[in-house]
Amino acid sequence: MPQIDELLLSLGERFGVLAESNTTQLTIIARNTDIAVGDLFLLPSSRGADRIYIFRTTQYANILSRTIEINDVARNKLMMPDSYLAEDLSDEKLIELKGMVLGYAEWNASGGRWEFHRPRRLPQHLSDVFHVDPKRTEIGTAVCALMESQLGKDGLYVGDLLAGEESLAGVPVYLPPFALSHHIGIFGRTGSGKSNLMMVLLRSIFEYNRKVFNGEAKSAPASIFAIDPHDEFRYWHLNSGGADGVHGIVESLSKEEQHELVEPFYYISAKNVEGQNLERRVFLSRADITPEDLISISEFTEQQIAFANTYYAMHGENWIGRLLMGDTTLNTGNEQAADYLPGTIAAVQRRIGFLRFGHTRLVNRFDPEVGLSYDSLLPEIICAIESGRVIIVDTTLMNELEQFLLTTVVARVLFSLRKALRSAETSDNLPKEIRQALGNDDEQGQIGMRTLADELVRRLETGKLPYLAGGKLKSSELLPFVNIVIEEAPSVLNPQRMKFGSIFRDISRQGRKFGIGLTVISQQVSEIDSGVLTQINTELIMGLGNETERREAIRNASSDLGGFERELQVMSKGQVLLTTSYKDVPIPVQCPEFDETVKKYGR
Amino acid sequence: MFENLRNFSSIKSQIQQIAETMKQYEETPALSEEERLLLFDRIRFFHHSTKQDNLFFGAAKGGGDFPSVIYGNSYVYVTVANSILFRTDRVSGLVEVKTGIEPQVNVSLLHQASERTSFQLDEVFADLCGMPIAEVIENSDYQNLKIPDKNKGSGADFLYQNLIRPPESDSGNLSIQLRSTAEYGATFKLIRSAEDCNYILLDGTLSLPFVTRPDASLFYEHLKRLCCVEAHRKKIGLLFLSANHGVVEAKLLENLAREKSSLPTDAPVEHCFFRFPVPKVDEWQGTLTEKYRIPPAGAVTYLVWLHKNFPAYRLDVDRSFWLDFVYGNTDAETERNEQKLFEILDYLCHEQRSFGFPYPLRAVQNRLAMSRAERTGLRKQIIDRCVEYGMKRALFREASFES
Repeated sequence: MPQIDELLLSLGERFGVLAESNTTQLTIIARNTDIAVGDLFLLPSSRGADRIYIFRTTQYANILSRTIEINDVARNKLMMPDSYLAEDLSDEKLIELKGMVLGYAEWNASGGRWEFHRPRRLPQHLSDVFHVDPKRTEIGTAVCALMESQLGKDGLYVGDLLAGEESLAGVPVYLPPFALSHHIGIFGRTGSGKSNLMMVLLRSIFEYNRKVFNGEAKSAPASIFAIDPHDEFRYWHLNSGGADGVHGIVESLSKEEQHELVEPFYYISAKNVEGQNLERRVFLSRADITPEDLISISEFTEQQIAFANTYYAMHGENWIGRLLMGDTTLNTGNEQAADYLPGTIAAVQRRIGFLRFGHTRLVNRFDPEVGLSYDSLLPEIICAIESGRVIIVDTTLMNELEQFLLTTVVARVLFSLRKALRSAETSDNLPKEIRQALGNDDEQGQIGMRTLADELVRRLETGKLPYLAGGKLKSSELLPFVNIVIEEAPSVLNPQRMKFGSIFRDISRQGRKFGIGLTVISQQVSEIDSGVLTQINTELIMGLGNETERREAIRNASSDLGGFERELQVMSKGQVLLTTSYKDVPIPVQCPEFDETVKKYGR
Repeated sequence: MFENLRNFSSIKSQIQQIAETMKQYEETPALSEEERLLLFDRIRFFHHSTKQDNLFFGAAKGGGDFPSVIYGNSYVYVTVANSILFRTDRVSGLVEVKTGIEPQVNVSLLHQASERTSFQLDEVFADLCGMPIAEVIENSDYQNLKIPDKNKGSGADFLYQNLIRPPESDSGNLSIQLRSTAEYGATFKLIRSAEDCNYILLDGTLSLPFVTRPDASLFYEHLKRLCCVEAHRKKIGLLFLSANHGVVEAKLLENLAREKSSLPTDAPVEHCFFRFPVPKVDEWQGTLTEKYRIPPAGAVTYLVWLHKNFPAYRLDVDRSFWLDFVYGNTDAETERNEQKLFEILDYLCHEQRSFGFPYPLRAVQNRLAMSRAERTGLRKQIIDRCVEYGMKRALFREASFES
């Protein structure tokens, strides 16, 4: 770890001098150089202790040194059109930069490292200022050392530190793996690079899991259930001569790694992909779906919810089939059931109409009495996620409801299972907890999701559902950090939709405890339910479309984004502002092109 | 002294006399109609220039503190020189170019005892110009311009021996010699090192004060002519520009220019020039030539009005260079070349901070100027160091020709 003398040597030529300064803003006077908003600067200071301040410019202006005011020059140019202002080496032309201190690093002699602190202090008067020039690798090393705690040392790579318009090579930025289960928001307009960011993140998760498998990382693995609405992630740019996507990553793994990190599948789709290595056609059963799932994804009135819940309580996993068949009687035994208007019942029938046979590729019928047995990939999906897997879900052939339904069901079941695991006191009682979590209690006459419960309990016993280790309950700390991706999030996470409850709201509030997080991807921050937004601990903010969205992004960020308003207006493709509750400062990041990452680091 | 000053009538009459005499000098003598027409005919005009491409302009300047400190019979002189180079630019007008030549600072001691002083002065001159002074004299064409002394000889060795070397206490003359040597030394280095240079501007004239004296000469005269020789060889135009032309008839020439361009009586004059007759080239002569001994030996002299509301400047150009690169096969060609030259000069005068005066010259003057604080600081350093060696601080005197 370089100490201050070594660091000072690597800073190069002085760029400027600190002029005015206060705790909210610094002003620096510097030579006439081409710089950009967002450029980083280092200010060594020995007031109090040896510290190096990190300054980020948010605005700058051209000024003149002494002999003539710049306004006079402009006026003269207008009145004497033939006049010019020559460019001297000994600079009349200077620039004045304003910006904020991100923080400072102070050398901890006992720890042998630089410790980063929030900006509670100021550099001394007239400190020298050094530019963090992306072209100089030594300065990248210095920044790495100074900001190590903010940049992360390992984990999930998201990109390189952005200094102005260029990234600092050799200064990577990582998210800790547990960030996946603490909720992530990815906000950016169309074309801002969200898909590429997802690809880089997916590759990072694969890389991380590989390290866990090899023993290089002593931590739980990670899982992500990533919705791919445009079927991009599998092949990425392979068809146009670019890099292969997740398919390429999987193909590059050894057989053993594929077995440990990928099997049974990494790609599921409504398309027929049987026969492709580690790719499967996805389907659910009607037995997998509860009213709660449907309420989360479409509009139900209070009466309709009540009816659906009552009906489900009566018929359990058979409720959809029965209702679609027209069996609308509510036989609740000895207790008096509420009356429901025919209109209410019809409305619920309409809302589940998309699950009619022939209307959906995703959901299979379930009626064991007529030979329609349980046929669903859900148990496999759950087991895979609980083993540490990257699962890409191609939703191109699904309609919006089907896409959201799949995500909701998977999220709900996972959440229920994790709660069950937490509730179980011994391994013997886990199967019962699982059944109860899925609403199945035969002793009480509750059918619930009996068949799914049977499937999962069977897999628990065979070890495919990895909740037991050596016959004992596995600690939830050893289970993967799970992340469920919600694309086009305003459709399911808007306040209106969540009025009567949503599994996503529950997960957003409690998921962290159980190691399940959401990734909310949206072009608009303003349309997302505020209850969900406040639970997001990591925001990856990309270029946003308008002032309203930028304002909302700033308001909801996990770090103080004061001073970054201008930045948000001028962000280019692939540029990300990372704010998170476990870093002290916002980190501007350049997410590399996935193709370049593959070229540089291999799959 | 105060007693004599009480005799006010005597002083008053002396002052009156001086004023009347000065007025006579100022009055423009009447010219004959013939001469008037001759001068009228030789007023030429050039175009206002807002664009010049692919040209490089240098400038050099010398200065210093003469002397910086005095201690008994020891005089410490500080001489400085700097040069600068610009290229034309579409956006900024002029952009400075690195020359790789460091500014020169020479701190030298001249001590009583003429032999010692002479020897020390030779060393200082050599240091300021970057070569042995014998080499300068040998390679310069100054001796070709000088009127030889048939009795005493005129070779390089003779000239070297008879260089005027003022004593250490003659600050006035030493300041001129040191400053000029430094300036032309910087010019010579610029000529030698600049790969691309079209013109170098200098403040002053090509006058050679001792060229008519067969025996004596000033070292910087040799160096000045050596610069001309070297610049000519490299096809660089040395342009000596001076605001102090001392030509009383300049007003008359202005009137003629006004008349020639049909301007009203008080209208300002600009973008025009007048060339003094060039010996062996121009067949006409006039009272101006005889009166002012212009052009000086080895030079061609102009008066030029670059911008309205600015006085005329005198421009001296090396004769050899002028014959090769300005003088044409016909009068028309010569005039075109002259116009081109003045349009270039005009362009250089459009910089906002020095409108009406060529910017490279202004820039190098600004760059070189020693502030009072710098002079004081340097003096203090010299005195402090001497005191460390046991000299008495109280015996130091500060008296200088600031330049």
